[in-house]
Amino acid sequence: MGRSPGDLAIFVGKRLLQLLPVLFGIIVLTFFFTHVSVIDPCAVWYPHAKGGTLANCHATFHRPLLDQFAQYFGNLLHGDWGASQTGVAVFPAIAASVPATVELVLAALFLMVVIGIPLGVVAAQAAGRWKDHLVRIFYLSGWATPTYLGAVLAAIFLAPALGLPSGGAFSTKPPPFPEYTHMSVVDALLAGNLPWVADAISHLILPAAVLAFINMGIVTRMTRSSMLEVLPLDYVKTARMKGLSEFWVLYKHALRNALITTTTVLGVTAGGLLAGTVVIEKIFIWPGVGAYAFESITAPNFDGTIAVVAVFAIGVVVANLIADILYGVLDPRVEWR
Amino acid sequence: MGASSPAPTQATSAPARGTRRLRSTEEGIGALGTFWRILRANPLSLVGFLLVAFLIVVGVIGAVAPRVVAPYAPTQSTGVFNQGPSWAHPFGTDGNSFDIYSNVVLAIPLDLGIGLVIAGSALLLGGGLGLIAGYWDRPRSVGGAVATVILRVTDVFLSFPSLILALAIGVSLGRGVWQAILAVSVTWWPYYVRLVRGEVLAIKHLPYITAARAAGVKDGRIVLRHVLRNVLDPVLVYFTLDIGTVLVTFSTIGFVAHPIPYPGPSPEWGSMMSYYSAALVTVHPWTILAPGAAIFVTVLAFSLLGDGLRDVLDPRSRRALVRSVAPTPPPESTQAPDAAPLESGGSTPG
Repeated sequence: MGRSPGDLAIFVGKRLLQLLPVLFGIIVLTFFFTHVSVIDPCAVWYPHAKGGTLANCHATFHRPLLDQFAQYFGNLLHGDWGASQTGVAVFPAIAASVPATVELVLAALFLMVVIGIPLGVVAAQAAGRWKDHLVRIFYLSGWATPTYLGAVLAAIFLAPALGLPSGGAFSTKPPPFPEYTHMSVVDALLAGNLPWVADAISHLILPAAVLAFINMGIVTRMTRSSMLEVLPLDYVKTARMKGLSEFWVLYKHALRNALITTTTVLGVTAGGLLAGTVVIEKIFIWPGVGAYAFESITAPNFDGTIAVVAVFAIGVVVANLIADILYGVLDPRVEWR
Repeated sequence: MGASSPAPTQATSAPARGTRRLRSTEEGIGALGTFWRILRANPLSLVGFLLVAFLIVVGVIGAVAPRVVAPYAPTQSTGVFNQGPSWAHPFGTDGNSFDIYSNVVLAIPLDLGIGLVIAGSALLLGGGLGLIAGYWDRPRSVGGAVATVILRVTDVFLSFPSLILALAIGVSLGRGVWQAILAVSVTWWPYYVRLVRGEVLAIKHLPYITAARAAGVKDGRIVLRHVLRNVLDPVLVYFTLDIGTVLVTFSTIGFVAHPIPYPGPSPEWGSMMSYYSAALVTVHPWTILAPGAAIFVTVLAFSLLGDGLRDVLDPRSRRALVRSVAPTPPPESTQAPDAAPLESGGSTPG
């Protein structure tokens, strides 16, 4: 136990190992929930089919559940994630859409940090007064906005008002350059095409802003309460006595310590951010995992649903791991163990 | 931008938890005193409280005597189609000539009920498991093994966005209020396990618990009479906030899975919003804005109330949250969680 890179490696390895049973549990849960509760998927998928297709489908789904699971899991271990009922393979579809979601979530996180944290500082400084109440109303409004309502209002009213596009990742699909990473801004940058970078950002900003607005509350609240704990401490008073400007005292001295807890909370928001992408990507036609999740859950596409739930779980675990590592980097008292 | 003055919320959170509890019962401040402290600390929580009270009253009336609060039945034709807000139809009418206002108001009992049932069942199930996992956690005993199993299963559920699983379950269970409630409830309880367990670990080594044990009080009685009572405050705060979260989540389920038929005899806000699909927003915006605003106001009301309650009742809420995501869980048998390495981040002595 300590703070050497070796300790960090062991810590990360341990956490990733712990992910395996969690993933297995999630796959089992989702498999049985999807397969048990839809009584006759064949009737849902092929309402008008007769003969061959239906018989094929029944041959697959009228076997004992454990048999089906053993087959699914065996395939999974061999790297076969299955296919939708229309025969579209799951893995390539998810692999192509994960980067777009990562981009969207990172953009939202960026907005949450650059807007949410200063708001928390302002609220802490004015605690109990009207600025504090205003900030509270702002972040609780985000919290209280149904994702669907926020996305629809932004796409239909805000987009034309601001002159922003309300769907897709680029103005043309596909864009006139190769998509290596499937992250719109990164691809445009790689192509060295500045007008398209601007185009990509203009498509990204609205869905990211809605996602950030809905999830900002916890960041602002946490910054506010950690600032409230730090502000009365002696070192802050010392900084004030030295005659430093209020801005310098707040943002350089106090916020630096208050940020340690906020960092951890950023990891917690990963769950909310990923969940929000399901509706937001659907409405903004963003080519990410969230939209894929919406399609496979409503289809219902069993293999796709299981894979998507697992991918979201990996996302949450990895986000928390990154937050914990950042926490350790920021706070020299933390030991990896 | 002057120097920051000490916040009123801080002043109330200054005394240590155990002593504050004792004092408040000894002095007999009681519910009214607590209530006054909350309002004084934050006028916004008064707004939240009044809104929640108003919603509950309207909801109860709406459930008992719908005609008192709603001029029309949910699926009663008014003869007026796609009309904007007016005196006769405050939130307008839709393409079926149904009165939107009546539908929004008549949805209050169902939506509040959904929030209460889901958050309540999560509180009972998760809270119960958390009590068990927190109190009987001695390693290498039957209780310790049970606690480990509970925590591992909780970890599985906590490690992914519950909404996704709820959606998957909700779609496959099919239509119906109870199916949708079940789908959300399956994923909703784990946080309560973490919360209650953390609270129990924090107080189980305090002198009054040790004293009760030394006096020969049975474990079951200690848990019910002493532990439960003293972990209740933060749990109730979280529960209040949680009712709002449930409603926001449920509206997403309504959008994806359409669990509750709309238009129908028992309207629900989430299903209403998704029924009047996005294309209608530009033409008849009131059809979506009315149920959307209803969800917004309700969630805001519960959040303001819970937020205010938290500032007063639960000074350690921040540390509890940090603890719940700490990379190293506190040593489970011998120390209170305050000894966990990460705790030092928040509680550095001044």
